Amino acid sequence: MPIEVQFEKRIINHHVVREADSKSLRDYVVVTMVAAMFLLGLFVYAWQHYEWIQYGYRIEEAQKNKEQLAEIGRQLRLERASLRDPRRIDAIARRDLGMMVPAPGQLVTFSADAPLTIPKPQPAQPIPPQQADLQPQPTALAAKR
Amino acid sequence: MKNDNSLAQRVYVLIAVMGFWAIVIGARLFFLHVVHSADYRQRAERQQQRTLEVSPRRGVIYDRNGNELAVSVKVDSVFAVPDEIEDLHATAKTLSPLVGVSKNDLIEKLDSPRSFVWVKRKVSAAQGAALRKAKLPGIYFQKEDMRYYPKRELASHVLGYVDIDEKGLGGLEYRYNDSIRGEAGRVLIMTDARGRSFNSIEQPVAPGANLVTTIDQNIQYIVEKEIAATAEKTHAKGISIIVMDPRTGEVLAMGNYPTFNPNQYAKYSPQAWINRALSHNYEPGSTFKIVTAASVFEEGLADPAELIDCQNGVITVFGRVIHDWKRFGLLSVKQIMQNSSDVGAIKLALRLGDERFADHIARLGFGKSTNVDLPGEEHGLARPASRWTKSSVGSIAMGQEISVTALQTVRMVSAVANGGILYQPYVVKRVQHPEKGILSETEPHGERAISAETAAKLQDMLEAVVTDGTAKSSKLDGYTAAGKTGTAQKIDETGRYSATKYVASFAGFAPAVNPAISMIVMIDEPVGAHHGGDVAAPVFKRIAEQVLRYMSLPPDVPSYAPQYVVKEPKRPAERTVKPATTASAQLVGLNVTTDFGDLIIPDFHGKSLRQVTEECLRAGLRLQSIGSGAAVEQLPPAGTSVRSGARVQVRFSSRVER
Repeated sequence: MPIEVQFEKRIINHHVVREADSKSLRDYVVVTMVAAMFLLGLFVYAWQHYEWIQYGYRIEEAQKNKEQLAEIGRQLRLERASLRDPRRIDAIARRDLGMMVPAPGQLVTFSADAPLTIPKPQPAQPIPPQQADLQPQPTALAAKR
Repeated sequence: MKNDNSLAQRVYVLIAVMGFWAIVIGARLFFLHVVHSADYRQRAERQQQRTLEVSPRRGVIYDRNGNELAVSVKVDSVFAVPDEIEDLHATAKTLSPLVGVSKNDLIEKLDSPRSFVWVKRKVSAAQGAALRKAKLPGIYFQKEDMRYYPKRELASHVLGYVDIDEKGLGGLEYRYNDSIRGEAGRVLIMTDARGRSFNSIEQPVAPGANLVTTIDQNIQYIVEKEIAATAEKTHAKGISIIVMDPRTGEVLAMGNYPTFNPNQYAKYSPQAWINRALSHNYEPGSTFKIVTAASVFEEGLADPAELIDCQNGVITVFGRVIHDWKRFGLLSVKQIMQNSSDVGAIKLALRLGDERFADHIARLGFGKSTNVDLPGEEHGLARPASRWTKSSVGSIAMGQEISVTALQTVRMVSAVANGGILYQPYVVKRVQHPEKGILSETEPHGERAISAETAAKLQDMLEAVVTDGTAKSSKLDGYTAAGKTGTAQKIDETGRYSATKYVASFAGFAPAVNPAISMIVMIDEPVGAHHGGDVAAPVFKRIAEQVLRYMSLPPDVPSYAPQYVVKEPKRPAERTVKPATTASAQLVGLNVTTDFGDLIIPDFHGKSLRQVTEECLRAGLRLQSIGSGAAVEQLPPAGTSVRSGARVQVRFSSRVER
């Protein structure tokens, strides 16, 4: 069996330094910068477009919201108008609250010029029942009739 | 070397594949962007953009105090895209109970080559919610405006109604349709792949103008309530009542029977839609004697005190024999009016002659339009004197051979009430645009029809009709009134005056001095009692009393209703119920129950009407409230001992002065 002998050849090239190619470095930087700028521009454009669409959604949403609120307002006003129906109020006043139409003599008309004040409540002195006349008094016209 | 060739071959294959791929892509792009560009652009626009027509918002109709009488709100309308419906029969079956349309009708509708079919327009909120829940493919919703009349029948003949497309068909809705309908707008909506909208371009909607009417919803309610009661009582064919402000010609209320609910107008007979108050001609009967008397006074041919021989109640006018309802002898002109003597009225008219009488009739607004701002007004029938027969003057003097509308009559009575000015009646005070402000405002417009002296004489005579004449049943409680009754026979199918069909009416005003309202009550064919004094005058009384109280008019005569007064105690120094303040002293002079018992009146100051009402109900007190806002005065004062059921007067105000 032949014996192969290999001799190790040591190459000492650690002191060999590649010559700096300043031109290609500059090209590399420029291309990188241009690419970065392009990507940045693309990114800004995409971001703007995305934001535009998002704002569009938000504006549409707000618009819809505004319309809905306005519509609710209108429906509430309609409901209020229905609740103010004189027929309904009359029925409640008579049926539920036991109110009745005052006779003309029971009307009190206040002058518009009279100052309105909130008087301080002062408890009145009760009068013994025997001193008060509790009977209804007919008016002169009613007596004549 | 071989390796180098292999690598080169691989690169060439890759380039060829890439190149082919690029060519295919390029070709496809070319077809998409160039060859089929227009088609795809159109399809994209259809998918991404939607153009919606936005219907204009119809203006609101208000009463004179700003209460809404007609309002539009958005509701759902249901439509279908037939191509997108997967199972026609199943869809129709599900839809049928939800929209209230028969299954067969729905199948007929949905089985259509069209791309858009209405299923049902303007569904209720409940129906809309149920339909959305069903999530039927091919079924969509569109918002549309719907007109609502929140007070239902109230003032329906004045307001009118609209069709499904919001077009006015009657009343103010029709008359002011151009002003209140507004202009439609358009919205271009862009949507994404999911159908969400993200941008829209609008051509804004121009909203319709609002109408502020002269109608007072409370007076209108009083009128309609009394119309309903009268219809029930008299079984009349028709009733019309108009309440007018005689100082301006403003119509405060206008009601008719039969009536209708404008929210569901199609469910009523077309007869019910007619505003009889201005569309129904009738012979006025004795209410027209006001015109006869006015004409005679204007010409200076008679005086209220002048005596006229009524010839025992019989007169022959050019061959026509006319009988009075009672055998009257000598009557003054005032008494002729009080007793409604036909003979007396005819004798007065004969003094005038045809031409002068016809001229005064026209000056008082008969035979022509009043120009009220409502559609469908009739002019009445007042022929020119040249077309009168010889006996016409006698007939017209007592309100026959002439047709009038209720509106013309109340306008004439208003002229008497206001001192002689014939005002043009109107219903719309203001047309107000939400953006442009006031578009138009109606000012009272009147012309003198009779002199102030004539008006004063007539006022005095008409008051006597109420106090001592045929209209005693219209005597008001607490107020003076004036007016004239009318009972006119109707012409039947044979062309003769019917013995069974009448028009009973009362035209008057109140109070008699410085009137606040004028009114006509016209009852067509009442069953049973048919005299104006028996059926129409009491209606006038009931309405006038309520309206004058509502208008806060102080009574001008003592009331004959039982009054409760505080009798002066024998020892006032110790026992008088003293008011808490000077202000409440105003209440003491008025008739308020002040009993003494086991209940102590609470302190209501500063409380709302609701709170006070509740407290009074709990305590068993009868509340008489005045005004609105917070309680500022009360009588009896807080702490007073009263019996259960005692009346407590509380004044409320939203205005507080320090």
